[in-house]
Amino acid sequence: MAGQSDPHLSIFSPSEVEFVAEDEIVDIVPNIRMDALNMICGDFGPFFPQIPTKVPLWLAVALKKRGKCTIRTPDWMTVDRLTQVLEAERESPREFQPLPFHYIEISKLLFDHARDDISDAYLVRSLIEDIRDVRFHKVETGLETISGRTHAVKLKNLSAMEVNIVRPFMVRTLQAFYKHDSPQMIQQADNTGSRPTPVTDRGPRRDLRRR
Amino acid sequence: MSSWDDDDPAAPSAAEAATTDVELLKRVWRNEKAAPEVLGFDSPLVSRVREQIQLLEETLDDFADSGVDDLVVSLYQMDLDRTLFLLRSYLRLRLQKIEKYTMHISRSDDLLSRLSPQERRFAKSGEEVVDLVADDLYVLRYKSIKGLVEGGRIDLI
Repeated sequence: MAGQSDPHLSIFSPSEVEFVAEDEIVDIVPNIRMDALNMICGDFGPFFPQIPTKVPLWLAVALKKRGKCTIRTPDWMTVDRLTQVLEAERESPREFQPLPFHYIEISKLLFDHARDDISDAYLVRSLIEDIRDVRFHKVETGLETISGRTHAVKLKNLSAMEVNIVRPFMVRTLQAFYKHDSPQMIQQADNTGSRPTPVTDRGPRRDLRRR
Repeated sequence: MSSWDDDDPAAPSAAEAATTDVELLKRVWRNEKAAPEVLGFDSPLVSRVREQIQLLEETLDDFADSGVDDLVVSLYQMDLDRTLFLLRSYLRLRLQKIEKYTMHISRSDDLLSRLSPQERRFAKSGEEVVDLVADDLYVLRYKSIKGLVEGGRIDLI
C-alpha cells in the first residue's frame, strides 16, 4: 500500500458528514395523522397531531419542509446552555466541552429548515458560531504541539466536523514524521559518514503502521 | 486483521443486536473510508441490506398501484435513496482501493481473503492487464475502452 493512505479516499466530504448527522434522532410534533413508517433505517411513528415523537433528522426536515410538523429544538441548543458552554470553552484552553458529536451539522440543518421553531434563533446561531471559532482555535493551537515524538493525540469531545478537518493533516504529518524518523533514513544519512553510529538519543519510537 | 475483530458483526453484543443493518453498514462504510487498506468484506450484511432494498423497491411499486398518500411514498423513497447511497458508496470505495492497489492486494493472501468473490474477480482482471503491458500508465484506462477498440468502434491513432 506504499505506506501512504490516499487522502482523497479517506476524507469524508462535508456532505457525507452531514449525511451521517441526518440520522441523529430529534423530537418533532406532527400536525397530521400518519401510520407508522417501517423503514430500512428503523420504525417510526405512528404520528398523531400534537403528540411528540422521535424521528431521524432527515425525516423531520422532510416533514417540516411540507409543513407537517414542528421540530423541537434540542436541549443543548438553547441560549442558556450555549452561553454556559461558550464560557467553559473560553475558560479551559486545553479542553473541549461535551457537545453532540454532530452539533455543527445539526444546528446548520435546523437553521436552514426549521428556523421558525428555534427560540432566539439569532442569538443561538451567533453563540454556536462563537463556540465553533473558539474550538477551532484550540484545535489549531493543539496541532502546533505535534512533533516527531508524538505517538498519539488525545482529543476528547471533538466533534465530527472538527475531527474531519484535522484528520488528513494529522495523519500525513504523523506519516511524514515517521518516514523521516525511520531506520532507513537514518542509515542513509550515516552512509555519508565514515561508519554507522547507533542512534541512542531518539527516544522511544513506535510504528504508526506495520509494513 | 485481529485489530478489526472488535467490530466483528458475527459476535454482536446485546446493544448491537438491536441496531439495524443500515447502522451496521454505516459503521463498516465509515471504517472503510478511514482505513488506508481494504478491510474485510461482510457478505451477510451486504446481502441483507440488498434484500431490504429490493423489498422496499417492490413495496414502492405496490404503493404506486394502490394510491398511497404521496407524502408517505416520498418518505419511503428517501429512506430507499439513503440506503442505496450508503451501499453504493461503500462498494465503490472498495473498488477504488482495489483498483489502486491491485498488485499489492493480489500478492497477499491475507488481503485477498478480505475481498468478496466479485471483488476478487475484479482484482484478478485488473492484474492481467497490468501484466500484459507493464510500465504503461494507461493500461487501466485502456482496459475500460478495450471492448470498443476490439469491436472496431473506436480507432486508436
